Amino acid sequence: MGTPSHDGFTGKRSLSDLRAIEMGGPAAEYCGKLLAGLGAEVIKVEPPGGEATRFENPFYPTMTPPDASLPFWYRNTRKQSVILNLHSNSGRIAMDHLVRCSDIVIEAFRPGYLDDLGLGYAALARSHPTIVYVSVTPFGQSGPRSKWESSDLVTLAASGVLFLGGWPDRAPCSVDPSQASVVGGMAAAAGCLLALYHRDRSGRGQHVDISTQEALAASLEAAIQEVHMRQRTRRRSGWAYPRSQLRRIFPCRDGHVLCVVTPVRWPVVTQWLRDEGCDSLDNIDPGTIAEDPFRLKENNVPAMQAFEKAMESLLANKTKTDILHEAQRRGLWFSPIHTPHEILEHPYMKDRNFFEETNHPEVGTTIRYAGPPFRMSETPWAPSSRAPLLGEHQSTILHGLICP
Amino acid sequence: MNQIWPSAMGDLRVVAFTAYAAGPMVARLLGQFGADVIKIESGSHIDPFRVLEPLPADDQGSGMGGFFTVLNPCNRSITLDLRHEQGVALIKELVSLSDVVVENFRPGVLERFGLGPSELFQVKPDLVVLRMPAMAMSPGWEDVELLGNNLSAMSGLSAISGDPDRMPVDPGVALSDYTYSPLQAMTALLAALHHRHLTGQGQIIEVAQLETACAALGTALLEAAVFGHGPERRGNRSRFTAPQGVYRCQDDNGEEQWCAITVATGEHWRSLCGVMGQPRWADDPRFASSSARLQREDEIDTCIERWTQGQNRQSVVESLQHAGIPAGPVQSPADLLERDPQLQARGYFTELPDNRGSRSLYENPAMHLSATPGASRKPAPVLGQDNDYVFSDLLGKSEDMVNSYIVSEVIG
Repeated sequence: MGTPSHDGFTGKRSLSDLRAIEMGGPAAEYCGKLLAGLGAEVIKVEPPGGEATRFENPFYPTMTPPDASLPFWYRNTRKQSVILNLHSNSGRIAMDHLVRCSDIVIEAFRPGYLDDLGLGYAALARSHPTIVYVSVTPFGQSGPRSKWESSDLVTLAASGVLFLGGWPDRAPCSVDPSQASVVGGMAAAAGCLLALYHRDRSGRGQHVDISTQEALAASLEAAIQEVHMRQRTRRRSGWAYPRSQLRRIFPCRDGHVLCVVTPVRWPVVTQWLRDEGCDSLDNIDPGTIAEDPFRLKENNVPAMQAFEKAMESLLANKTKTDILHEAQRRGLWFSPIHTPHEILEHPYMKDRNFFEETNHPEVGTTIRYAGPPFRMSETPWAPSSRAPLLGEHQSTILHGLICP
Repeated sequence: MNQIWPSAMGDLRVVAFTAYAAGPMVARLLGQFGADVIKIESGSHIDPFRVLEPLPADDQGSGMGGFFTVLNPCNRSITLDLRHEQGVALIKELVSLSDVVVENFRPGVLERFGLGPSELFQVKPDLVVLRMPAMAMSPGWEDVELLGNNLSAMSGLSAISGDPDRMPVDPGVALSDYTYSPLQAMTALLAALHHRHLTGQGQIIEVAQLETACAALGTALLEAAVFGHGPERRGNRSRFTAPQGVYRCQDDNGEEQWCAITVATGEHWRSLCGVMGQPRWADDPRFASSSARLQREDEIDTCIERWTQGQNRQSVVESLQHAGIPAGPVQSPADLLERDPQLQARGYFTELPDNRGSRSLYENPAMHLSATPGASRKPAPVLGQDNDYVFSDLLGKSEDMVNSYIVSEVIG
């Protein structure tokens, strides 16, 4: 299918009929970003002084908070900002008016915080039974750890993902921990629209309670099943993978590539090597070097070293892109390790119009942002606009929606 | 189960050409929330995850490996040979009774069977087609097949993860396949269904998984756009506050135990000093601010680990939580399954009977909906177990007709 253009589109976007109120940190913000990209009107309700995330490093050079944080900018494209003091009566009344003309509330506060202010789901649903109320937190609204102090790293650690990453001779280490909030936000958006599906048919809203720990735990592959079925535990092993695959990074002319080889594709690798004049792997049984963290003593070290040496010389003088294309041609899963900078300049990403040049008048330039996570043929992603300045929409919202 | 649960998506039927992880994860969510999901399999081309270890110890040939079962609850399974014209015709009949088609083939595979979107829209004009290729068809990038690990590598996730003094690390799990792609696909699909609800219009959704993964790293990409390079790898540490990291505690039964601690504020720091029995550090100017602590993070980490390594993990975590400091266990898969009180209270895991008289382990969704909860209520299907239901009941084929399909190997 062709790439749908999102310039000049005059039709409705998929969520154009909806308004969402968003409060709280990164997971709520990423959820709101997705809804705004799908066309919903998303209003950030911020405390006096601004949401704490406005002070998250790094800042755009020459700018200072509350309108300078790059992570805040990325997570808050296409939204409006209004300041309400929810601890004051007038703030709560204003909030109630805002909820009355909205479809969705998204919040990432500690469980109980909004309840204490009379703005939790139970209270709001009494007067607004159609509201879809989404709460996203590290551990969910209920349970013995729901009130734990947490961080992205602590949530990642609880999920099981952290245990499985990193090198055996070091502490466990997996993805950049900020991905925890991103995953929580993604789960919140999906949960929100699941509730919306029900509302479209029943007219009723509901509470959507997202546990980021659970959203991350869904990515443990079959590690839990290994324990349940076979009473054994997968362990961190660098790039290696139990039994069924060889995985290694090798340097190449312009960086590194990841090579994944399954036993079935071993002959393809040896053929490629022979095509380039190397037969050193011809007598090696791949079964003896398929790594298996469950049975480490069966690793065949000399054979593994021969494999690594052959691969290093195969790949050393080739570029990442050439390796990818040749590997695809032969049916092998070899891929470049890209840095973020390389992705910004990548021909595939540019051909796909993946990036959104977003105007920042205060800075005096447009800045390149990552674009849509998906494409929709009839209701394309909304054009980008920069994150709102603190309280930028105060008067339009106060006089338009809250006290029209 | 005897209990009737109000179901969010009980009116939705989905035809799923899904295998491995990304597509099935979407199909799982849809099924968990009540949709009728029909997975198209074939005796000659089964989902490779059916036969991937771990396999049940008592039945290694069952086609019910652990990867497959956890990913495919609440799915029906039918077996059809799509190389047969009649097989394709049967799919079209099924699609005419369905709302959604989900596929995670390589680009163009569906078209080669004569089941591309234009053919499908002819039998169901308001269909929503969800396609999840690794990369979209783009000149020079046609027909690319990638695994989740390749996506981590190509999206920049690996480059920003791991210890700074070593090569980029694989996250250890295929985060892209199991979370980014399916969750984003689910969001787009539900948005498309909302649009259809309002307008009657279907559409095609494309989740090109490399782009989906890059969009998850949008903050790192924005930094690269502004500064000319993305964030440096910092392992478990934060770039802007210290201390943060993973610290060794006492082994338990010969097993390594680690805890994770984040000190994000001055108050956390002062509390940590108190808990560790080092109250003087709280006022020590060498550690007075985040930037000061960042400069001394190696020294601080050594002191913290000296304190944690003599204690069991649970008491470390309890004393830190009691003092208001973000801290928690680095949980193993066994910890999650057997001794995580939070997951137990939330009902995250469930066991369902399998076809061999024992019980398999399933997971429930991370989104808890108060009125229409989702859950793994039906086990993963045995290959072709729903052939009778779909061909005889749903499509209304006579017994003779079905037998002729079996004989000609259209079904099977």
